[in-house]
Amino acid sequence: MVSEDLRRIISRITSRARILGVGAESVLLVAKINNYKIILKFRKMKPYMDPELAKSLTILRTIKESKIIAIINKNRIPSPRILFSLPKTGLIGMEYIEGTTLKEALERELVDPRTAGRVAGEIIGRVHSIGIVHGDPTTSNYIVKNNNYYLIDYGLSEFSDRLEDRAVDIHLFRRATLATHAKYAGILIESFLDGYRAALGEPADKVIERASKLELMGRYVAERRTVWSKQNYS
Amino acid sequence: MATAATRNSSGRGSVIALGIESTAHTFGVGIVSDRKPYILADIRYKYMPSRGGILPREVAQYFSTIAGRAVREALDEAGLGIQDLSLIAVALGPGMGPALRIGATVARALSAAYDLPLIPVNHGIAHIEIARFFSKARDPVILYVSGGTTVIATYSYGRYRIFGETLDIALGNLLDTFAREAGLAPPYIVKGEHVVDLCAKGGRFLRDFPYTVKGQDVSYSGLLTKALRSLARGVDIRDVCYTLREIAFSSAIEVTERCLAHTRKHEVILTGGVAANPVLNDKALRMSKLHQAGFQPIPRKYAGDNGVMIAMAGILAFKSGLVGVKPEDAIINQRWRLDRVDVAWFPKIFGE
Ligand SMILES: Nc1ncnc2c1ncn2[C@@H]1O[C@H](COP(=O)(O)OP(=O)(O)O)[C@@H](O)[C@H]1O
Ligand SMILES: [Mg+2]
Repeated sequence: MVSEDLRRIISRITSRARILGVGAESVLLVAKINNYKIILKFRKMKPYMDPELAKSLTILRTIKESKIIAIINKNRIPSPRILFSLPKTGLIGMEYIEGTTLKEALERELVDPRTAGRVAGEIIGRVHSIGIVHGDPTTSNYIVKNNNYYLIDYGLSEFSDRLEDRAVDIHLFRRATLATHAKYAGILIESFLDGYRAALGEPADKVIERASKLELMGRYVAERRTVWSKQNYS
Repeated sequence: MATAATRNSSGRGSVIALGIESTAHTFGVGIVSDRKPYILADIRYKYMPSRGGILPREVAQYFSTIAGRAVREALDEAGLGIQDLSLIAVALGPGMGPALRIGATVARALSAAYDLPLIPVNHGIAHIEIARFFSKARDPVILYVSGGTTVIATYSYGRYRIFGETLDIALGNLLDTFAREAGLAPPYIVKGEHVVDLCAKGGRFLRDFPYTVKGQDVSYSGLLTKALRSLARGVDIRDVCYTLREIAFSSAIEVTERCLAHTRKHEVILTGGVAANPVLNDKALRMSKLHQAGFQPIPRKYAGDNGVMIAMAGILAFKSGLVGVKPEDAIINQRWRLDRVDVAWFPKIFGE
């Protein structure tokens, strides 16, 4: 529930904001209130989707992200603090973490990959420990500022403590890291798992085992051809 | 052998490859030159079962009856003799074992009999390279979609790396299975359009179908189940087709978008059999525009399996220094992942 006053204030802030950049599904704006900088995350309606589908995804993910960041904040897991959200507009206001993405920090060699992997893994372990899975733990979704790491982007997050869902997070980090940071992938993944174990404790080993099993079982095999389906798409 | 030395020496003349594709239902022979007009011959024989289920063995049986003819027809179309070729390229995987073996056998025989270098090619890499060739996209985010494959890949450190894929069934598989179960197919393609596209005309979006994106992965099995259940409950088939296609294509494009945003690349390509679909191409174009990325649809004819793409990938590998393998070492690999291939020629595009 947002009052008309707040709506007016937000629209005034928005009109004076500058574009910081674009994410996978949103435009990020920075605005200033007195001397406090805030981020406005706008989920745009995806123009390549049926309008009804685009609208429902925007609203759903905005609601989910704001709900989950609030819980993440309450548990003091390092993330930007949420300030407000307008699901129908696809807008979330949050604290601005003035740093660089972990991806950029690694590419520019601003951080040590071993430390980075460990901290990234610890944070995911803590997220899992409160019954949440992140859903998109790539290095674009961590921000590093003065050697502090923050997890962002909870649009694909879910409430879950299922082994399977946790294993997917591990798998996603692993594969995105292999694809993006091939040079340091070994160190990053190894230290990520160390950090994850340290934060989640005993259940971690089962999750990690499941994550590697997912691959061995062929569930994530790049090529699976079924005989009968090749007729038209061969 | 003097002739072999002349025709294989680099720097002089053009490099001409004969490429053989036999990973699935198409036996393709392509002849390609590294100079204009590039494509000299493109012969394809497609296995069409008269009815019902298909066995890899039947495909292989069919291939073995037309393989010799296909090679001869390709040479005739190009107006070349075998002595004019510089190399034989062959798709050794991934695919169906018995089918792959026919292509491999033909390629080994040609290489041994005419003393031609034998270049193994990964089928997925060939799909990527032909799409790069037509679009001139140097370092694109790749959506590779076919009957059995749904992969998002992009280049990093010497290889095409897999960024995302389907957690269960492939996109082409989804559409075909639905069409068959719904009684819309076979035939799957009518007047150049997939029956699901035809049926979706005039359809409306249904709200309660599952849209599943996890990180950079998609999942389609829940969508297929939901679609079939809705049909059984009497929901309008046009609405079901429209919604199924809308969700399936949009989620594939969304994971491509996620990869594009994460890697900050500037080009997108679509390749594989489903890349012939105009609705999917339209979505890829809109998504690319949103990120100011370049997108050029692949010519429809070259989206699906063919021998031309195998020849192109073979020439790229050959010119980057791969001398070829001995016929006895040309072993098929049914599960040869495309991220296991060192693409030493990158960022070069075929024809450069
Ligand atoms: N609170 C924040 N402080 C600073 N930068 C941010 C913040 N939130 C997002 N960003 C920047 O914007 C990018 C996209 O944000 P993100 O929440 O990941 O959106 P998307 O869901 O579109 O990927 C991030 O990679 C980061 O660079
Ligand atoms: Mg993000």
